[in-house]
Amino acid sequence: VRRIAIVEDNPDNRLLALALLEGLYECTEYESGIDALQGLERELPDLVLLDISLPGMDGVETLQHIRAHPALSHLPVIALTAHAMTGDREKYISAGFNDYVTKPIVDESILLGAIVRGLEGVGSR
Amino acid sequence: MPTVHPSSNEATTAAYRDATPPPEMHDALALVQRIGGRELLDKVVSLFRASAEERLVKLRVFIDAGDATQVSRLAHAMKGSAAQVGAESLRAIAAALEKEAGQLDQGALIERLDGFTEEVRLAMAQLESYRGTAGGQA
Repeated sequence: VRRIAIVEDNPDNRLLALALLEGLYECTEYESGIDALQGLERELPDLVLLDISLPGMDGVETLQHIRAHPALSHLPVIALTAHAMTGDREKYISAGFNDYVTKPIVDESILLGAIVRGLEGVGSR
Repeated sequence: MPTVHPSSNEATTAAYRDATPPPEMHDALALVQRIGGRELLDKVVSLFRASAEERLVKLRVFIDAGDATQVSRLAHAMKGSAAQVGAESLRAIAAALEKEAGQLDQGALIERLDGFTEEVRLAMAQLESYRGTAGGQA
């Protein structure tokens, strides 16, 4: 079973993501970027879903740490964001994310498709 | 007026304004039921209620403390939770508070909190209404 780390501070959003994914993947939840960075080293996942608007260390900064870490830098990371502005996709892809999915989840196939592509190494980058 | 079964702490004007779930809520909760049936619907509604109640308390604390950053942060969280359950009017008022919290004085923030609280109660009533309808039974 492939392992997915879900980094999301909002418990309501985390519940739905976990419910969607737990039958398909082995999921680990993190509430902050700091928690995630510590946990990812101990329990290396196959893919990371990373909320952009995390308190403290935000998603972009967390990603920078992931990309700078020798053991984590290869991980496919999908940005989860409520921002849906024109140009956001390009912004996050150029920041180093492999893909970008907007919240709330309205069509589960979009998130599931991004995860499958990420695990296969076929991101939007 | 649709049938609503609010608990006593929900019995505000807003809860009775119009507890008909908006189309966005039907869409959002249909997704929830598709993923996890009635059990997940119950969990989502219960967690929404608990999270929202906690945020209302914290909002008042941070408004009193003059901490606009935390007020904005809590409004952002509420926006995300509201969007997930399709509580559209709450999502909109939370988005506005998130954006404008830093520009409002304490008095204005307290006024906003009143309207915000009313929208939270309304969203809860709409969620309960949905759960009580045929659409809420997987």
